[in-house]
Amino acid sequence: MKLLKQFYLTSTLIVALCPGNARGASSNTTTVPLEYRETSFQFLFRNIPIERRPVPFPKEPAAASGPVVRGVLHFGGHPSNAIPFLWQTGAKRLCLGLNRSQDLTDDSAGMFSARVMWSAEPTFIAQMFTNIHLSFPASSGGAPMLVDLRFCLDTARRPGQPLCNAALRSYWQGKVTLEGHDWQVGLVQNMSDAPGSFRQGQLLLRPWEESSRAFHAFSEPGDTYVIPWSEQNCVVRASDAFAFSPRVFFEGHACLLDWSAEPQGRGDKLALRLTEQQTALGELRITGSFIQRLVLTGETYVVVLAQPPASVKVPTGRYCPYRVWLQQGQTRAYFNFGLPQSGMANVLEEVTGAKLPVLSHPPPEQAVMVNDRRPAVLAVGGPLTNGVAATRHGRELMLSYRLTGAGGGEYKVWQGTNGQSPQFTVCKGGKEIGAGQFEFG
Amino acid sequence: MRTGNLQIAASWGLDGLGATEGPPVTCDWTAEGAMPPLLPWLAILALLALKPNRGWSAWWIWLPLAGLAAGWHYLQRAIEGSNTGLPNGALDVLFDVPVALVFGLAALWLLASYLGRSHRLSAFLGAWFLLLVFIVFSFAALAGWDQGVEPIMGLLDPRQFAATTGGGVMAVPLLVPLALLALVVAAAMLLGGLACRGRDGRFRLCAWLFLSLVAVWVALAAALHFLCPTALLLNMEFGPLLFLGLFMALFTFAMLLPFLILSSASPFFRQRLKALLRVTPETPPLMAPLPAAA
Repeated sequence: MKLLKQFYLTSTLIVALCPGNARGASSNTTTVPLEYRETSFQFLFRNIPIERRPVPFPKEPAAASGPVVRGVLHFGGHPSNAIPFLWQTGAKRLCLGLNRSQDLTDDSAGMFSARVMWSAEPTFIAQMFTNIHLSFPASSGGAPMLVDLRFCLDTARRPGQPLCNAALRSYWQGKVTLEGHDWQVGLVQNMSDAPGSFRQGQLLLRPWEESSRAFHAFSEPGDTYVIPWSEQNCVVRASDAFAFSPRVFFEGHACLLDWSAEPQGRGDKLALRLTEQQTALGELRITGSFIQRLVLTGETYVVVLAQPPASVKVPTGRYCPYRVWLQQGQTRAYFNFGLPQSGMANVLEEVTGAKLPVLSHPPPEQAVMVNDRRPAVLAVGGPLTNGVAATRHGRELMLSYRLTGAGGGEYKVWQGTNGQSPQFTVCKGGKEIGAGQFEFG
Repeated sequence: MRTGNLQIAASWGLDGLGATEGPPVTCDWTAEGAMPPLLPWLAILALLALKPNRGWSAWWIWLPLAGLAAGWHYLQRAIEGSNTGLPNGALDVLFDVPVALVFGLAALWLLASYLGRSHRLSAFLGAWFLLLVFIVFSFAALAGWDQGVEPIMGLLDPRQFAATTGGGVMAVPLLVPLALLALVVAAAMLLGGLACRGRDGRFRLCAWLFLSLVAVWVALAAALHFLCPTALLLNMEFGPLLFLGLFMALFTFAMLLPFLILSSASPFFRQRLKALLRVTPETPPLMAPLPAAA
């Protein structure tokens, strides 16, 4: 019976492949050409270590007023990926040695003008340089990446410690059709330990109808200090893109992702092969509703479910963490659960020393085990319930807003609600004696 | 009137993801009565009943105590009224720290006669202990027992302590500054006493005490800079930390000054200050009159 089911799934995939997807040599393999895309939004953030240089480079542009920072940007550990730079804060200019040479005057493509960022103090300089094309042949095939570099320098408190944060704005995308549904599949290059690498990058996988919407890739919490505090919690739980896994399960199919040649330039394409895999499936029952996206990270497969029904078949295994996004109308909410890849919760953020809004370790029982003998139950989803927790703090009564799901987990609203904050009312004996609204923080 | 069983409910338009109105929670809220904030005052009153404090001279202790408490109270009101953006709850707790220190100093002055009899090191440890106990007690009574006592209970619970410190979170965020304040004042008195032993001019005492406070705060800033993880100090460089230390020296001296003025004006409290600093000259040996010549 199980064999018949798997044969059926395989056949369905083959039949359902859209005409645009090229058939491979194997009958259950499809090839999707991925094209280079640049976005107007930043979706992946990474702090770039800076090695300062105390003496000028052999050749530099003309001197400018204001503090000057010289050094090398270390992208990963490979020395060939390091990029010499000169930041002239007064001239709002950044000179990058894109050809990795110490001559910062021989490459006009390496000169960038800044957009000055808002700063709370005059001694804090923050400038952003946009539309910088980088490539890292030492750790990848040399495929280009578009980044924005944000430099910061606190001239009063930490004049010797400039900061650089890179924000990625390019990826490679294509369209694959399974079971009559179009999916956007994309590869986001690595920007940390193996810059430029696709295999150590991230996989973007979502229904095609969402492809015009901005997305976030997963950024380590410590790298997200450049975005507003209220968004950081959401970014580390982004569900559109996740750490690349060669084995993914979506639209009822287990696929092995592979490619042979990586693109060299923006005009090249990456031929992504999706090969149908046979795997044991088990039943997963989802008790909640309104789930727009559910991403389960397992030992073998990453499972991506779009608007899943109450019961779905997924590869057997243990899944944790899982990311859940709900949507109804214009309002989106996410399950406030999970850990960054570092595995650290409540970490002190390196740059500001602030405690990050990351929850504590998830209890082991919240991992979901799927096997082929009996259904597994995942208690996530809506409807959501507005709640309040009241605790005494000295002479004060502290009211904390809680948004809980059908399974009891905590959720955060990300979009919608027309910019309004949650309200509270206090009644005594049926008569309202106080009211107000919750403030963020 | 706003005590008793309160029903508190949250509401938010969730656009179909859930109901706008949430179910109410019931909270049995009893606002703290007038008694807890009075406890530090009653404690001072109890100290006045001790044998060494019997007599009206000791009652002058109310003057610096009430003056400083009233000063901080009106300063807090002024800041609350100036719309700084700080929540009132945070201001309450913040301003309870100096008031607790004032109670600690008052208690120290009233118990100084006991400390003056012991060895200098014992007197220092005793002064630290007394200050710590009265500051924490007063802070707990003023700010609420959960602010003052629960951190200590957490410290005594190894599991909770390990869980919070393991995550890089200070387990006792309010206890540490209070203990440091007590330590600094006690250490400054030890240093000040050593600096001017046997010489008990009023201005000399004040000057040495101020210099001792500066020295101790600077030493503390240096110790924190070199020993504490920088993240715990909000990545402060030594310069700002030193500036903070100097500010704290001024602040502590400002707290001490009314008590020093009282000690200068009142012979009773002048003896107490000398006992604290151990500047009282050794008691001269009893001189028996020479026997009359036969």
